[in-house]
Amino acid sequence: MDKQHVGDPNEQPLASGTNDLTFHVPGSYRYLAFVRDAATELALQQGFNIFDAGQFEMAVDEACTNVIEHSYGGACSLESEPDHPGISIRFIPLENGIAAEISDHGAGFDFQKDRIVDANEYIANRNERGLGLYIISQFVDDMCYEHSSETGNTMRLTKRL
Amino acid sequence: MKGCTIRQEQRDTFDILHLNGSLDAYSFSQLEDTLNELRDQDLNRVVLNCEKLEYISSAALGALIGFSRRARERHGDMKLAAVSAKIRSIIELLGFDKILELVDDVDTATSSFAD
Repeated sequence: MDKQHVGDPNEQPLASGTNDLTFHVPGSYRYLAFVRDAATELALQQGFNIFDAGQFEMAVDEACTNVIEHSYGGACSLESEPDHPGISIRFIPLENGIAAEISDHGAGFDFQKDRIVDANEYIANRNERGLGLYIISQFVDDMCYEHSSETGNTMRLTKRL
Repeated sequence: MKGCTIRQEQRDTFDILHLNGSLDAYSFSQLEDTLNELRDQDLNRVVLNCEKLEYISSAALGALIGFSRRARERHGDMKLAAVSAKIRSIIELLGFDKILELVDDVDTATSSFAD
C-alpha cells in the first residue's frame, strides 16, 4: 500500500464512530451536488462559518471529481451505474472540525506524479485544468492519500475549526 | 441533481451570460460550449451575471480564466458581476481575483463597457 501525505504526517487514521455518515454514489458527475450539500450541511453543524464550510464543500467536490476523472478514467453511463464500484464518502465529525474519507476502487493516481500547481504557476502557464489538488491543499488542513490495488484508494481530508 | 442554466443576452457591444445553478463537473460542458461559441464569433466583451450562481468548480474557474485572458488579448474583457460572498472569498483566497475581474452588479459591469 502506498501512502502519501500533505499536512501533518503524524496524524492517525480515524476510528469509525457512531456519528459518521457514509454516502455511496455511482461514479458519475450527476451526484456531486448531493455530496456537496452534505459536506456543507455537516460542516455548518460542526460550527464552521459559511465561508469555511464552502471551502470544505469545494475540497470534497474536487476530490470526488478527481476520482471520477483520473481513478475511473471518466464518468460511468447511466446504464452501467448499478455495476460500477462507485465512490464512498464517509463524513466524520471531529471534536475540533470535520473529516471526509473518499474511497474508490479505480486505478488511483500518484500524488507525486500529479504535481500540485499553485495559482501563479497555473495562470502563468495558461493551463485551464489541473487545479483540483491545489484547491484541496488550500482548503483543508490535512490531506492523505492511500493507494492499494487490493482494498482500493482513499483520500482523507481534514478541516479543523 | 443540480445543473446550471445559462441564458445569453446580447446588449449593444457586449453579451451577458445569466448563470443559474451550480457550475461543477456535471454542468461544465455547458459553460465550455457557450464560451467556445462566443470565442468562435469573436465576441470578447462578456458580463457574467452570477447573482444566482450557487457553486463554481476548479474546471469552471479555469475556463473563465482562459476566456478572460483571450478576451483581453483581443481588446475585450470578461467581468463577473454579483458574485456571492462565498464564491468571491474562494476566488480571492485562490488568488484568481488577479485575473478575474469581480464587480458589484451587472449595471456596474455594463457601464464600464460603455466607457
